[in-house]
Amino acid sequence: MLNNNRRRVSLGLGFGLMLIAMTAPLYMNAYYQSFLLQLFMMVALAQAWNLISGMTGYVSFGHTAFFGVGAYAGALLLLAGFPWWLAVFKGAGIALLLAVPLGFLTLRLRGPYFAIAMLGLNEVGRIIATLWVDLTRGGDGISLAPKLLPSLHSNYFSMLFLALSATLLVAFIHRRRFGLELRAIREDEEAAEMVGVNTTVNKVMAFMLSALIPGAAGAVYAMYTSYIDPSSVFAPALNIQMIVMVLFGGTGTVWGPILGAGIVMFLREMLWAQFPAAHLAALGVLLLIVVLYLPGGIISLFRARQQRARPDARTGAAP
Amino acid sequence: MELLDPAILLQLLISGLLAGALYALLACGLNLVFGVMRVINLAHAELMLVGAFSAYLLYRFFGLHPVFSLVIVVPAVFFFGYYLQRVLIERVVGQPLLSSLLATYGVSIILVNIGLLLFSADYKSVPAMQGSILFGEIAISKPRAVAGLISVALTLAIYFFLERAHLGKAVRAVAEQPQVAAICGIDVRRIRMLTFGMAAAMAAAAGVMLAMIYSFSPISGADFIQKSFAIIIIGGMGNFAGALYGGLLLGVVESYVAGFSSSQWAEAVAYLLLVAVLLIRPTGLKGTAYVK
Amino acid sequence: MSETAGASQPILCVTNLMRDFGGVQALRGVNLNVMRGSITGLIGPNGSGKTTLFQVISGVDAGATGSITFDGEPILGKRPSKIYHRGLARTFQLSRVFPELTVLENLIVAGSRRDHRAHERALGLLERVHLNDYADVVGKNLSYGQQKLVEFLRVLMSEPALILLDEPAAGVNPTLRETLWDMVRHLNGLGTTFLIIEHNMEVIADLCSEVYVLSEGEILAHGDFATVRNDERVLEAYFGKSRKSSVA
Repeated sequence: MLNNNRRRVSLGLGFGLMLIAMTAPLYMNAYYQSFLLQLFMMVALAQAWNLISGMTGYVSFGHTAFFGVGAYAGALLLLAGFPWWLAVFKGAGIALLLAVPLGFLTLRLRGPYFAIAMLGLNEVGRIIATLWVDLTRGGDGISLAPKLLPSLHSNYFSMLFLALSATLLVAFIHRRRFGLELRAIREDEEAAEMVGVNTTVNKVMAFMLSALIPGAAGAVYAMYTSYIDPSSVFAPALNIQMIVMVLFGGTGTVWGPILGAGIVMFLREMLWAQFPAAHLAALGVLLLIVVLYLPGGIISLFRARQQRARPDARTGAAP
Repeated sequence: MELLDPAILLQLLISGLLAGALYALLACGLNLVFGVMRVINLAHAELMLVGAFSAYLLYRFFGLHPVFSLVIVVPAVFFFGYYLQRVLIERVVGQPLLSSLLATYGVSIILVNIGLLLFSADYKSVPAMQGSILFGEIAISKPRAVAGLISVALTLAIYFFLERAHLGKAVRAVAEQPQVAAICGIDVRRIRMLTFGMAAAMAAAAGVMLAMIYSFSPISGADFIQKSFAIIIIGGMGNFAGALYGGLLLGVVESYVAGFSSSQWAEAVAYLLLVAVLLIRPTGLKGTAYVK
Repeated sequence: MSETAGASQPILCVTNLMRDFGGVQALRGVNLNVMRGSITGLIGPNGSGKTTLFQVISGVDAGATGSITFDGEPILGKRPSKIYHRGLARTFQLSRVFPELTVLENLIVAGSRRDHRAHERALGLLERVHLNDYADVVGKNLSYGQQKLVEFLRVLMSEPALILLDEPAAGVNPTLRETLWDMVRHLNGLGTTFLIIEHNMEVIADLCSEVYVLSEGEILAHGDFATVRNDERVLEAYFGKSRKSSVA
């Protein structure tokens, strides 16, 4: 009953936000639309990270590798004459396919080894993009002529679609058997395998899904900015932003990454104008505060209140 | 240029070893922290830059040669690390990996951006020393030789401290069996503070050496932390001596690759080695044991 | 050594199983048959290789040689999850409940993906041991004994044919312990086979129709409890080497 109530609030909130997002281009100027577009991108990326790292506990420091691959694939396909939507679609597909071998290789690694391998993977991506000049034009980057590009509205709705589908994907998986198995892997991988969970297949599937979203987002991003170079898309700073947003909002939850992305993007926008360098330092401080004092993220504040309000809350039967 | 000329090969080997010594000094500190408290310090390269910028300031305003500024910078950063451990890192020891990664990442972002505010993103250098030493056909730049030799000396000094000194043995005891160490009367918290202080001091010393030979900016840390990761994976996480070998190996391989192809490919070497090692031996070449 | 076959068939056959940890031989040619429908005990001094044997049979430890057949099919080298779905489940010596999952989720995750009634069956199992009030409590908030019981219920979700229990009663209070052994008897009555590591000899004497004694990685003796208890070599393994000369 209480669960239903929470679901109703969630759904209502979701529809409200969607309504605002869908109609925003009607009354917002290009500046705000751009801001929202970036917010949608961060929500999509944060949810993708949430899917692999929040649910399975495999901390990825290199999801931007897939973002970069998607961005380059999208830009190059666009130049090759594909319509923008097909370029995005294929960019996402390439990221997904790439995730299969990479997933099998990296997900054998545990804890710090996985984190570092993923960090290395992003760097390998950046280096390949720099050195494979024939394909990627190297450090000069790729400029996309305006006549090739979709309109701001198209990009806006593409990113909105990505943010929405990433969120729905997480919400869907969270409630399903698949999500349960992923969470079991996070808790105790060996025990999960012992009770019949094929951990390899599950991890690789989650990894693939979590590569698909950054792949698509990268392609849309390339079309939105109209220029990419190796360090702007294989950017560790972007990976860190997704992690901070998820953690700040609440890891492994559906609303956490949205909340986190919203608050961090808002703060960034507020601080950016006044203190360009200090805003990132502020992000660092925020990170420390969350790690030390709020390990469950902002969302845990709401949860805690809800728990206390529940008359029949069964909190812990024994020490 | 005759590539297989023995003099050139030797030249590349020596400059590789000298650069590798600096990497080793940096990576040993990172590995020491990981070995003792299972924390991956993402701010390690920024601690190095604290050393580099301190050397820069001391040279610029007081004309102090970097070799002498070591005497001031290393103890100062030691205490910075010592207290950073006390107020922050200690609280994430024993927590899930993500907590410590993020806490140290937070420190890293803060330091980088303070650096940007103070020094901007322009590259700085400390041209305190010039010229080369000639051994027949082989020329070695003086600053590189000095930096390399001091790095080796410091790394070995810490190594023997851990191996021989009473306090060093306590550090190893905490690394291997923290509970047992605590029962044996070792103040585990204090040892961790000492460890982090030492690691920070090693990073800062590497930074001072770096300032002599390279130009650097507040955002240079990223390259070095990545290289350090490659080194500790190659050498075995938590393995102090392994990081020493790994550092030298990376320096030499980079030097040869730069000599035979381009410096851009040399940049890639660390990651390719890293990925290759992880694929072949998921726990690194030397296992996870601390020392030996 | 094979005169105990009787009318029933073995469900699990372990043949010449060896496991070597960098020169230390943890298992040196173990031969063991578990009869279908039996409760078989596995006893032996600490460090004799009992848990290693469980690790190998259940697939967690993939480094052994020899042969293991379960229900007529070879399982050595198969993934643990695959072995589990074939009908061979095991519990851990120290509780491995998923700490952040609720009790109900702990059970459901261990059931088959195709089981649409997993939810009801999980609740049914909890009711049987009077833990139904704890369905929504997360694993880490249970007492240790409750955790071990949940871990036991968890493997029942797949209705396995053979269950390996690694000291299921260790650290569990006497009331819950009785509940646990009652469950074992009840399930055995319904046809489930058990292989149990247990240090309490009274329990072994009471439950087990056949007992294997493992010492230093080898099966020293097997048979019913009375036979095993009076075996010279068993006494020696448990009580010291002083009488070594009396054994061949």
